[in-house]
This record gives sequence, C-alpha cells and structure tokens, in this order.
Amino acid sequence: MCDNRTMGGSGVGGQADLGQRIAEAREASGATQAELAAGVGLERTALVKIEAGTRKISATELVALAHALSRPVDWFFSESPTAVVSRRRDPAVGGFSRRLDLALEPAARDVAYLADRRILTYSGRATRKVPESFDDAENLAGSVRAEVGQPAGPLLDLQSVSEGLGLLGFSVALGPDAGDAAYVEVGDIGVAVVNGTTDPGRRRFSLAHELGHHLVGDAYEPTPRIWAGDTERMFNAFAAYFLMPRAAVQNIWDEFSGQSTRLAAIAVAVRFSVSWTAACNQLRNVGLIDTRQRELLLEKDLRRGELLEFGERFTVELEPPAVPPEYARAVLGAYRSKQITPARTVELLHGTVAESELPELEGISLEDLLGEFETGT
Amino acid sequence: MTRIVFDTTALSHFSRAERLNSLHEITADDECVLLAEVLAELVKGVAVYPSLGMISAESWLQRAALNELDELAAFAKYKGELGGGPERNNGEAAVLAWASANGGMAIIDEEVGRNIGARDGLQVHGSLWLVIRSFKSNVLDRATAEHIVDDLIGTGKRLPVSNGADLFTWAYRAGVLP
Repeated sequence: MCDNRTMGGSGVGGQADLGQRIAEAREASGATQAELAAGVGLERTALVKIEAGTRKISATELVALAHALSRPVDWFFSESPTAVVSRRRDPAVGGFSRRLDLALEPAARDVAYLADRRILTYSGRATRKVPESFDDAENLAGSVRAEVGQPAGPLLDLQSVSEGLGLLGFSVALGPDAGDAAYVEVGDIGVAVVNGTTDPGRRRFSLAHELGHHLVGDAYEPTPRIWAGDTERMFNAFAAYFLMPRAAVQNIWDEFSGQSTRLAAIAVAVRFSVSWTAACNQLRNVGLIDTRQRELLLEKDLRRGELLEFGERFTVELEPPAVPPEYARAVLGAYRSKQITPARTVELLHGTVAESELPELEGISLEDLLGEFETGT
Repeated sequence: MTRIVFDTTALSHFSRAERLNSLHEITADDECVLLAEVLAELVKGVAVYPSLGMISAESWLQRAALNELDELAAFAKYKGELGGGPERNNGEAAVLAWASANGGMAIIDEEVGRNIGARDGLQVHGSLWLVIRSFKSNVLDRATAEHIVDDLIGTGKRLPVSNGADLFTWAYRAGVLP
C-alpha cells in the first residue's frame, strides 16, 4: 500500500519514461486519452504517441498537460520526494481517496525544495519509541506536552506547536470523502496534509495523530509501511492524551460535578477544541464514564444550539487553506530576497495570500547590477 | 560571437520603444535566439501593444524551441521554480532552460529569474548590460546609447536609473566604464 514511485534511475529518463509518467498521471486523474487530449487541444493520436514515447512534446504542451492533470510541471521528470508513511481516515469511509496523496505530494515537494535551498531550516528532532500500550501513548503525550512548555490545559494553535516539533501541517479542503490526513517525512521534516473539509475538532485530532507518527520517526523502520490496527490505535491514544491530558479532563469533570454528564462532555469538546466523539471517547478512556454512558452521549449529536447555550467559544483551527506560520515566514523571506517569484510565493502559501497582498519590493538597484558588469565584458 | 537568448520582457520593451533595429545593431555580432515560448508570450501581448507583432518578422532572431529531453527537463525544473500556472513565466523558464542546456547568454530583466540563473552558473545579463557593452565595444556612441535607455524607460520599463545619462554617470563612477 506504500506509494513509492520512482522513475528511470536518476532524474531524466528517456522519452518513454516521460510518456509513462504522463500516462500514470492521466490514469490517476481518471481521464481517458480522448478526454485529456481534448482538454489540452491535442489530437487523441498525438497523446497516444506522447504516452508511448514516440512523439516529442513541446514545453507549452507539457505545461498544458501538467495543468490539466493538476501536477507540478517538474513532477513529470522527478521522483516523488518520499513514500507516504501514514494515512488516517474515518473507518466508515471505504478506501483511501487519492486526493490526500495528490495534495500531500506537492506539499512534500515544496518542503523538499525549500529545505534544499536552505530557505526552510528546522533543527533535527529526537525520535521517540513507538508506543506499544495506551500507557506508553499517554506518557509520550505527557512528555511532549512538557517539552513544549504546556504541560496542562487546552493546547491551542496546534499548527504552530507541531511546527515547533518539526511537523509542518497544512490544511487543504479535499472534500467530505477524501480521508482525514496523511503524513510523509522529508529528511528530518515531517509534512502532514489535513483534510480541511472535515470538522475543526477532527482536523486538530488528525494533526495530533500525525504528530505522533512524526515523533516516533516511522521512516526509521526498515521499510516505510502503512500503520494499521493496533498501532494506529496507539497514535489515536497519543492524539487524545496530547489534546486532552487526563488531569485537565478530570478538572473539567470536577468543575461540572453535580451537573449533567452531557454538559461536562460539552465542556471537554469546547475547551479542548475537539469533536464530540473525541471528547466522549476521552471521558471513557480516563474512566470518568463507562462504555454505556459514552454510547448514550454519542447517540445524540452535539447541536450548535447546545454550544451557544454553553456560552464558551470553540476555537476553530486549521481552517483551509492553512499553512504553518514559520513556513509562511520563510517563504516570504525568500520572496523578499527575490529567490522566488510572486506567483511561486502565492503557490507555496497555498493561496492564503493573493499576489496583490504581498509586500511591495524595491526594484533592482544599480549596485545589484555591479556583479553582472564585473563578470561580463 | 555569443549566442544570446532573449526573455520576453527585454524584447517587448525594445519593440515598444521602436528600438528593435538598435537591438539588432548592438547584437549584430551575436547569434540571437527567439524561443517559441517567448514568442507565444509576445503574441499574447499584441492586443495591447500592436508593435509586438513586428518581432516575429525580425529575421535576425533565430527561432528555436526546446525539443530535446534535457531541454524539456530543465524547462520543467525552472517552470516549477518560477510558478505561474499555465499562462505565466513560461518564456522565462524556457530561456533559463535553453541557456542551461545549450550554454550562451540569457537576457533576463526580472530579478528572480536573474538570481536563479546566476545561482546555477548561467551567464545572465540584463538590457542595460547590453547597452553598456555596445558602447564599450564602440558599436554605439554615448548619445545613442543614452537615447536607447531613455526610450526603454519611456515604455514604462522598470530600470534602476531615471534616464540614460544617469546610467553613464553611474557607470563611470562605479568603474564599469574606464
């Protein structure tokens, strides 16, 4: 299930490799040769030959194909930066949507590029042991909480906290049935894409889950693998305890003692900015309610009116599109030092700013030209 | 003789300033290349600047395209770096790719493109460099060279000087000219 693509040795292969790569992208998009050809103004027979490697392709045609296939132009000539190590999804959704992978790959590619150019720099991370029990998961969550200087209480701005731990979390709206999140490693940097279409609480939980993967360094396994079953449950436990430490949940429970269980659960969901399901599960995990009580709570969805009635604000995070804050600063630094174009800056920032909103830069100065004259005639 | 490949902006401003003849004159000893992707961008500008339609008739600008796979791979790399979706920065990416695959000199006035080219060890120069070079090699006299710069600025071209005379004053003071 690993998504490990390579292409004809290092870098550019032959014309046939390029054709194969185009065919691969087309098949992934679900388009027929006729549909893709029509979309880019080519004869179907021309596209057949291009895919077979028997017809040359112009730069303009390559750009049109890349656009139609929603791939970066350089994708057709390079290997994927890394294999996807984790995908998280709702068990109710059958199969993984390719949309998560399709969003994760360019994000990982961008991070690899920026790291290569020393535009992004993160210090190496210490990797932790894979949790093998719920106690392990809780302890890991506790130690990481202590490390980030927030041992107790709600942990807000998870995107920023994760970035501090070397995990860049992006939120991209991928639609309701595309899964929750996926994670890859790019060197020491982790890259996660969270499906921004899911509920705000769920988005946070998904990012916390991927943070678990990041912290234990899945890529150090002999072969990257998709975690499944019990191990995934350990990462869910990590996420739950990271977002809702046992003592903090107990405090809320005590605060609402004598009032309804439902009100205490609402307080947990709102104050920790997690989903109704996650809040109810955690109350059971820490032993404050039993399985039967949890089921009763979950039978009735949390209604918007109940939130308003409760009166405290639910902090919405990872509203798509969202990029990590230090990543954004680094990209803007490269824009200011004219290493990247305004168009590329906006792409790297996932459209969170428009070109017209970028800081205005000084034009080229005569001093900037000096080097060119020294090396010239 | 140098092989010179022009980016869209340089050609566009020389054309709009009605200075294509001057550009030909100052590159008379060079082999000048007009790439298909650059021409495509110029053609798109014809509706706003009809003079751009004249460029395709300039026979001293040799037409070329990125036909080889190594050229195309270089194009993909630079296009990826420059961004701009299906419509923008294709000419600049093509110019960088062509220079990286074939050598020669790229004339690019956009700073990011120049920085990327310089980073990769390509020979990248701007329009002003060409003008100064022609004066240094006695192809143009100073008054003509200054006029060309004035005319380029007259088209709205963003240059680091406000007129041609200032460029030459600076060039002498900075030691660019002896």
